Amino acid sequence: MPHLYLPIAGNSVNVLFIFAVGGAVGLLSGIFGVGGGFLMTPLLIMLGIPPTVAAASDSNQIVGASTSGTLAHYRLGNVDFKMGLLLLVGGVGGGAVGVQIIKILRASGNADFLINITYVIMLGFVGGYMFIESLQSLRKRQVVHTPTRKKESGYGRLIKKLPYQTTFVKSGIEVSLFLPLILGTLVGILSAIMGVGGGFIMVPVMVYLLRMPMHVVVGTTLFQILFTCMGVTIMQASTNHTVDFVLAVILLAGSTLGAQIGAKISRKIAGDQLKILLATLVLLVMVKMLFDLLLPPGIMLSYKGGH
Amino acid sequence: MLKRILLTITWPALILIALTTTGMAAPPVSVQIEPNLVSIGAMYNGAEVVATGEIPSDAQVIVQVTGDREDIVLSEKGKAFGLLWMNTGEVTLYGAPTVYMLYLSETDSSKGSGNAHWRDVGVGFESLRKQITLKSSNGKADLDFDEFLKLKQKEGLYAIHKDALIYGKEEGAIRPFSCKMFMPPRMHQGTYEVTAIVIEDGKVLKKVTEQLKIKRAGLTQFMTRLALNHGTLYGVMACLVALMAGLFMGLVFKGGKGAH
Repeated sequence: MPHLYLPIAGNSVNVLFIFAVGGAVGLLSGIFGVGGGFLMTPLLIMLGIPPTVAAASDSNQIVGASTSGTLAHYRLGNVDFKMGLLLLVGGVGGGAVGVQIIKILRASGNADFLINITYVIMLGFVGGYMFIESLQSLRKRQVVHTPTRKKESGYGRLIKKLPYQTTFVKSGIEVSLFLPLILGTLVGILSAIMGVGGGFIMVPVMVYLLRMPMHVVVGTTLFQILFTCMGVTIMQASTNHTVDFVLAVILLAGSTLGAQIGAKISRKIAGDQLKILLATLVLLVMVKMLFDLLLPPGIMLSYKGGH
Repeated sequence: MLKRILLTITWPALILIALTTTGMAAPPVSVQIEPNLVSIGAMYNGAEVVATGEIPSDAQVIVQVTGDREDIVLSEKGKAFGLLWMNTGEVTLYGAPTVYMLYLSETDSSKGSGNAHWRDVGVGFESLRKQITLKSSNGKADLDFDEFLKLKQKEGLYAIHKDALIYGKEEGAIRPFSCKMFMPPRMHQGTYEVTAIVIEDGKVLKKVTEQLKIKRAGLTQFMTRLALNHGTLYGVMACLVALMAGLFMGLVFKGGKGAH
């Protein structure tokens, strides 16, 4: 079995195994059209990679995985650069805050705990949301419903009151400049802490909070994630020295290949049943991590900073 | 005349006895390791090192591998909010070796690692417990040392390898031995001591030490230096390579959707 030594993780890994992990997560990503990072980091942690190295190296591989997607959507005209840039500015700022949070928590020995608890909450939220949405979608097929006019929500009225309202032509919406900045910052913080591109958080944020059309959401998310993850990777490398480039390259090779194959499969077998399966997988990962926090650990001591 | 004859006989006899006893007091103890330099290259997955040597025929030998002694600060897990397990305290171990491995023969393996026999000769985990000073925020030093052992054993850096040392055919008063040792990939760059501890009648007769060097080389050395000394450049380089790889894959598959 071919092994490669990971200079930053300080251990060797089976190349084929890590490639397969990258490929499997990329395949799921390609089939379901959602991010793979939120699955990748916990899987790497389960394989014995120190959590902080797993999170930082995953950010690095997301740079490569989102590059080809951004390029394709740019060609199709699905990228709202104005919105993307505002989200990006917020994302980079949030990323810097997130890296500092990790640095402080590493010093106090709580970085792993924060990564784990953030994962449990986010996986629970995304998995639960997807599961419920898929079930509702399945039921809607059987029930004929009459269209009703929706009353504007409190949130809708609130965002209209914010200053510096501006039009985003590509998305066809008018919102305050501050809104994408604030939302970008929040996603950037989570991205740095969790080592994910933020796609699975950003997509619902753009659809439900910014109210952008779905086809523009996908292209703009990829554009924003690409640059956010570049920022996070450089900051993690310079501040915490936790980016393992060798690990990132193996994952990247697997995930980009898996994502492309998955995208082809999705055209043939996409459906709500598959969405439910993915939601179940996400919830299973969440339950595993939750058990790790609730059950007594096998060893009561650990290295500070997750190593 | 008689005195002269006695002196003539006695002196050579005394010299002969002295030579014989000197020879007996300095048993032919030796140890060699092969290789004594291990390089951590790109494909490194641990390394096998063989220790060979000679001891007196009526003695036994234990091979011990130890790393530098250092002070280690560890996080201690406890229950937070009465529900979640997280780091709640700190444990400091003073003078703990980074690596501690023992290689025992079949005969010695049956004696266990914590009994009086090992304590007398100063090897084994029970002896190590006495050599390390432990400061714990919960005051449970013994319990914390056991957890520390578990942590190190899980990493493969602390271990007692039974039946790992083989004696060869005795040649006169000499007993050859050989021992195959596996250095796990988690053993970092550094100098380690491989010591042959020769035991006779339950007491240490002699200790012979050889040095084993583990050193990063080639790409591994370059990447580690770059990551630690030029972090920003390393991060930019990692991003550029990822970008190029993503573009390449996009071109190969004519621009797929990619991952979020």
